[in-house]
Amino acid sequence: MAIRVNLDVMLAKRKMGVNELADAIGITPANVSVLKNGRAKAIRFSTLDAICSVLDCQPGDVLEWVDDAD
Amino acid sequence: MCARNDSMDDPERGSAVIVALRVLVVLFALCGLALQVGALVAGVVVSIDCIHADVAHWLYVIGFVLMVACFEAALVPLWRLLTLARRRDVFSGKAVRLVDGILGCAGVEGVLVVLAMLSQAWLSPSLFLSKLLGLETDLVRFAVVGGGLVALLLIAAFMLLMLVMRSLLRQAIEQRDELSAVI
Repeated sequence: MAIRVNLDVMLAKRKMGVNELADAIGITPANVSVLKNGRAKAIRFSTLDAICSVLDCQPGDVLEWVDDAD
Repeated sequence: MCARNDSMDDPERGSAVIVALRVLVVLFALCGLALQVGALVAGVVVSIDCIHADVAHWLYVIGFVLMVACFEAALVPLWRLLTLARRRDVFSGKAVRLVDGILGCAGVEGVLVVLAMLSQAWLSPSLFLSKLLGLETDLVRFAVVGGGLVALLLIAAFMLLMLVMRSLLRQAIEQRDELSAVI
């Protein structure tokens, strides 16, 4: 997948755990893991909005495009 | 904003519709049973009344009973589809298997109709049918073949409709599976 979700970095910066984030944004810890591990195929804007709100960051801080060819 | 006039959106109206449909299914089953018993009784009456009656008329009685049985067999998956509708269990895939069951029953019904038509081609015209339909013996062949063709057309149209609905259901399930992967 060319879009990388850098949740680990932001979670570490905000000293927050996966379960805590899951509770705060209203999705299951399993889905947070799916996001973290790059297995997610699609994300709702409402989920992204909640992530950015809880982690106090911009979408670009958690989403990154990498060229698959590299 | 227009209100959607869909009874399934309103749970109470939805369950009323399902109850009504279930009553219809039970009525169809009872009618089918009555037709089967009637056919068997007619067969027995012919056996007793007509001294010269051979066993060939039982072929038509059994054939008719089997045809009605196919219809009754299709009522079982239909009842279970109504249960799924009541539970709003649309996307689990169970509905597709039940539709396959109904398609299977329709297919068997078609085969029985073809066999009935072929039987008139090979066997001598049935006195039993000629008395039943009130036609001359010579015309019975044409009546059976003509009626069989109409029945086959109706069965084919029904199966086509069910195939189209099945395809729509499968697409809805695929799209829903895709959407459920969205976090």
